[in-house]
Amino acid sequence: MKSKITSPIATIAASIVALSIFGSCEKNPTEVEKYQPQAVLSAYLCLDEPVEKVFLERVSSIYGYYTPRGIDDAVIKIYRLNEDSTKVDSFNFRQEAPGSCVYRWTGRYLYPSARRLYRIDALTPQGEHLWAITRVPGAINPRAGSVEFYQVYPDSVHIVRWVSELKNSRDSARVEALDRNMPNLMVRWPDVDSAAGFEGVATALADTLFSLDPGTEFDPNEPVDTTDQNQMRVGWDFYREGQRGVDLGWILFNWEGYYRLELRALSPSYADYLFSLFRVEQGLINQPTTNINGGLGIFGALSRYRTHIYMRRAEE
Amino acid sequence: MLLGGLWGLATPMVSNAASLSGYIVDAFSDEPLPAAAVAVQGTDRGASANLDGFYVLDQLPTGTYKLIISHLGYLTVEKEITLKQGQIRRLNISLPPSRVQLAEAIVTHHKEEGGDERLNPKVSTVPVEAKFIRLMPSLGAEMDVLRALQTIPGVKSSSDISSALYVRGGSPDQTLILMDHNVVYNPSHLFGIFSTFNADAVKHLELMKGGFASEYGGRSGSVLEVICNEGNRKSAQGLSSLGIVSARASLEGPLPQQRGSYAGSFRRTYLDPMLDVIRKQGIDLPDYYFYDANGKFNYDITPRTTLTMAGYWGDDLLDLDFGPKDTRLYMLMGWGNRTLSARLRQAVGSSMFLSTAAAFSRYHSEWIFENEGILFDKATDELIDWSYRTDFEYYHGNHALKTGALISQYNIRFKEESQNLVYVDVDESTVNYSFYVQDHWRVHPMLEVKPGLRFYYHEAGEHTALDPRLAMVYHYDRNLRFKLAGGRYSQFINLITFGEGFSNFDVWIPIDKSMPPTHSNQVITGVELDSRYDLEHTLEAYFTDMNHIATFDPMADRGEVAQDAFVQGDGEAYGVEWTTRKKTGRFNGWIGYSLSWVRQRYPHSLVNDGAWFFPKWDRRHDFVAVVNYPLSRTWEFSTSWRFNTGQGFTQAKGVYTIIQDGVSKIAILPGSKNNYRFPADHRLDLNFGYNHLFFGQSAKLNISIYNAYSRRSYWQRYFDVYQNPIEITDVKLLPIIPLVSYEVRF
Repeated sequence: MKSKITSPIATIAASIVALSIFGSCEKNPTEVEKYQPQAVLSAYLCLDEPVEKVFLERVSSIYGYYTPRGIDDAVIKIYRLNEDSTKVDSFNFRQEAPGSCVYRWTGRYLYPSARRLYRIDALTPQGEHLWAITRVPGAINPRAGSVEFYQVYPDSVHIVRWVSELKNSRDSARVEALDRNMPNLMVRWPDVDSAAGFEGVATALADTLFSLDPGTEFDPNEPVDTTDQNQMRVGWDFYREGQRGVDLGWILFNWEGYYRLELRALSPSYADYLFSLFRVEQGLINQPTTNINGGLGIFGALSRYRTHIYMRRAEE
Repeated sequence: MLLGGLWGLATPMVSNAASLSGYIVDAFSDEPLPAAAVAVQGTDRGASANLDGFYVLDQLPTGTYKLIISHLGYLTVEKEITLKQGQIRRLNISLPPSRVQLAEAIVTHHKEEGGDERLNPKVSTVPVEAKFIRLMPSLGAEMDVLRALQTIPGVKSSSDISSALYVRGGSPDQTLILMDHNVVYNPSHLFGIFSTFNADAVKHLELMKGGFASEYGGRSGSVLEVICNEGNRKSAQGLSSLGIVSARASLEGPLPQQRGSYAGSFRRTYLDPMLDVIRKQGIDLPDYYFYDANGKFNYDITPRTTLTMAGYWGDDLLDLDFGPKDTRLYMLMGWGNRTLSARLRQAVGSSMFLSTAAAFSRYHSEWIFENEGILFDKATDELIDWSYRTDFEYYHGNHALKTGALISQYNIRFKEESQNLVYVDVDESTVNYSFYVQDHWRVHPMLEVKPGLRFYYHEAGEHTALDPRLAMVYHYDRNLRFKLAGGRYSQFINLITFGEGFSNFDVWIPIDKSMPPTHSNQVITGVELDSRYDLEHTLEAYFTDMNHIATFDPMADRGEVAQDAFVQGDGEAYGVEWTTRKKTGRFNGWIGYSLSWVRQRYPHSLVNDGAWFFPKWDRRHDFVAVVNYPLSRTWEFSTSWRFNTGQGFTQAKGVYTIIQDGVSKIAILPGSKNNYRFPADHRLDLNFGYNHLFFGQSAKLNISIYNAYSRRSYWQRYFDVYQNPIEITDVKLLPIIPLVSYEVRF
């Protein structure tokens, strides 16, 4: 039996579908085209080390050759604060050259103090006001013997320790020569006031470019760009609050020669920032967290401890 | 109380009524046929068998009737019966499979009456026979249940390499997947490329895209019910198959004295020996395999009581040893499912059916990354679900009442650690109690109503929920039906998945006191038209409002309660779906189109900074055509073509430099999540089957061509910041892949 309303229903259904299709022809989102490039402010305070420069940049287009775009004639100051956030004194920074992203200190140096609050302010000629507050972590104190880089041989009591910093990487008298056949390197560290995370950075020093593993990952005859800081920074890792030690694999060290091992205690916003960079790489969030009000970037604080090792090729 | 009142008011009692009940079974194997239909010719009476093949026609006046019994893929059978006053008659009915020549899915339709959907019309429910899946083109010549379901309008995948089901805007964890009534938590092999369901072991599937009845609970989106073969009760038979990727074998047969049946199947990949040979040449290649085994055993304790034991065992394992020769890296990834259930089903009297089951389901996964004894990262996850359920069906006049209870105990342990720190250690046990009652009430020959209620009590956090549900079907005439369904659907366990598109390390976390349960409110309306006895058109519109949906908190790195791992938000999905299905005949298949929107937001989180966004599985337009056609007595042909809106991706807004204490790194500044779309995808898959005899046994050569014209779909946009200008690469997925498999039945 043919339904009396079949034809109207079919007509209505077809109309709904047709209207829906036409109605759903959306334009591509125009967010990217409408984007007003933001200012990016990056500044770090390292305990007891002078703050020489801060960076102020305008986000650039992803198309074409990328050269960081500085923001000219911004006024940048860092303030030392009391606990109630009132300003004690200020330190000024001036653009290195027109178009540059680098703003260098002028006047007296700022040496950040442990557990102290600081504020940065940047005013751009376009009327943007970027600012942030951070607190400098306490020292990672090597004299207490609480930071240890050591190896433990499983079948003996042989323990090698480094607890003092080398001023000169060529000072091999104080540096242990290690190879991949040895037990792994272990690092332990103490609690640090006002720190919410730790970062380990191992850096190959610029004149050490012979591969420890010839014929596989790195070719000793292949030139390596020793001016590329990222290339020489061989990594290590980032650790959230609560971790107090890590074992380092020899996989970190690809070249024969000197390495600087640096352990950093990070302010909370800096620790969040580093963790969020990791999540950005994983594609889980859009952009790193920032403590910069009115823009992007980071006003981070850290304290650090350094030591050195020498890697030699393991005997076959 | 409401249900009780309606029940009492609306049950006309016929004093001299008779009752007819029994099982509808396959004539060759005696296996029950789920959802088969029985119509009483010349009346408006009829019944649909439940998933165990049991049907009841209650309150029939005395007299002689002609029964029309039908089921998709089977010849329609007519049977004349005479019922006397007060007679309670038991009648088991056998349907012969409609095997025309060698093409299994082709049906010769003898009679117009008895179409399945007319006797038990369900809203947004798509029944699929496993025979049909075996004909469909598939990736790697591996018949795949979930990939076949992805060709149904309203069901989407996140990419060509994912078998996960995104049903009407819901994420995969919002679909309840039941295999022989037992929950399966991670239904994927090979990072989601294949599903865990061996098509040889599957008999019947039913996908409820939304608006499902109260008997199903625990998920806020949809339900996939997978019923496995019970085994041939008349004779033993087997199948073995060799493909490029895996080998399969299955065996089934009767128990002694015809007291039951058994069925088992096994599948394993055999890439690992080949990879091993290459590895011995000094090339770092991973070792990978997966396997799965299904088993089912049925024993008739009495003619009316059957005990069924069913189990599944499957694992994936990938390990890789690589890196410099004196400081090797080692990576291991493994995951798997185990299920085991014991179920007692019993036809009680003439109009009652009782089912009681105890079940165990375990999902586990493991991830290890280490270097010479230094543990960089290790994550282990285990979910054990012990459940007990009982369901009681009572058929009386125009009512089919069903009630039951489910108690599920979840034991979950998720631990992530490195050499020196435990990041996450979630160790939770909780019990979820639920109770439901529902009715299928034929108010009038033209109107069917299915009200229901489901009540939950979740021990952790002492959460309660009451989910009312309602479905209605109005038969305008024999060929035209209007449908309406809706309700509330609660969910007490959520999935953390690390990345969209791959499935390798999924973590299920139950709701606890730190989070409210997820729930959705759904409304569905539609119209269904049979323009010919074998041609069905469906048009449905739906709206789903999702509340407290959960996703992984991107800033979570440690925790002990659910809130530490999840952020909660809300979402909405709405759209229109149209399907035209030719159910029988030499030329059969369907075409469908869906127009849909899915939006989500997670306020106060870093997921798109709390703003609305379209998830990756949001595809505005989706058109699919699936066709089966026997080319000759020996050659079968099937094809599917799909066209859909391109996948969303996150386009960069700009580039800047990240300065880290003197070291600089060029970084992309991404725009809001999935703010752009790739070009539309379309793909043609083909499958040819050559049926012949191999040493006297029935054999089949399958030639499958995946992506026949090699239109590679876009998957991800990648920005190489180490190049200047920045190099932008759009990663595309699989090109044309021709593959073969060979199977022998004995």
